[in-house]
Amino acid sequence: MVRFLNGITGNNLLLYKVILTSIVFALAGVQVFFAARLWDVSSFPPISAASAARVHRVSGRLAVTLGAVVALTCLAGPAGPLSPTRVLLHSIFGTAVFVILTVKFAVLKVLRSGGNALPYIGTALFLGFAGIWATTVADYVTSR
Amino acid sequence: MPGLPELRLDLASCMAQDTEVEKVRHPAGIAVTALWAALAVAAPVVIAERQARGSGAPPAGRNTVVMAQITFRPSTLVVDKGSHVLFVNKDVAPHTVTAASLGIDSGVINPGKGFRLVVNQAVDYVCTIHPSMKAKLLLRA
Repeated sequence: MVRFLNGITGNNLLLYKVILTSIVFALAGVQVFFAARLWDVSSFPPISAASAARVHRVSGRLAVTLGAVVALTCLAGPAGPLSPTRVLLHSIFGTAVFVILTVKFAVLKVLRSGGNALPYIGTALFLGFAGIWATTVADYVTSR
Repeated sequence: MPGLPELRLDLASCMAQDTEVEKVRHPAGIAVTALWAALAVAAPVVIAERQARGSGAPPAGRNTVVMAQITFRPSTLVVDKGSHVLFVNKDVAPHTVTAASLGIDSGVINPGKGFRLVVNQAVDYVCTIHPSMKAKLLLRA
């Protein structure tokens, strides 16, 4: 699997993952802004709550799809080591994001209640993505 | 939380148009939730399984560098000029042995594979897949 992915990325699999992870992190930030508008916490961006909900839904789906692709390449490839500390933290953040996504989708799609917890779940999700970004992309950039 | 009642109304109005669609999507929603739950379980299971499998990585032998736990072991190896150094990937991740300035590039070394290098000068090398992996080969004086 890793050999295949390295092949189709011209041995630049890590660079592609860095780019995709950065896009996911950026989308996670967009999610926060539109969720704040949706929950009427902020008047920015200046669109209706209904429009904010649609954008939040579409960008969220894009973010989790791209995130899932990156996560699967991690699980199929390098996942396993618990050192150095950066890698350990990355594993913790990655697993935490899966757990938080499970809770969020359970609230939204299965339980269909507990919506008041969504802002906290969303905040935790954004922080999880931030942690993933910081323990991979930041290291990738500073190592060069 | 101030304004919460209005908020609920707002959310309800936002989602009202999707009510019928959401009902149809319900099984898919459950499937997606199950997918995330499966990944939440799979991640620690994969890590634990690979830890158990990889914890017995042998120490590096003479003129051998072992790649394990996202490190080169040893990080500094002193060898005679003209020696063959064997790099063995005992890790769960693919690695490279690369010293671009010297034109040395092993290509991707998958887990369980190796790479042999004849050392005629000191070499500072890295894994291009994991840039934090850095090590060096020194020539014995």
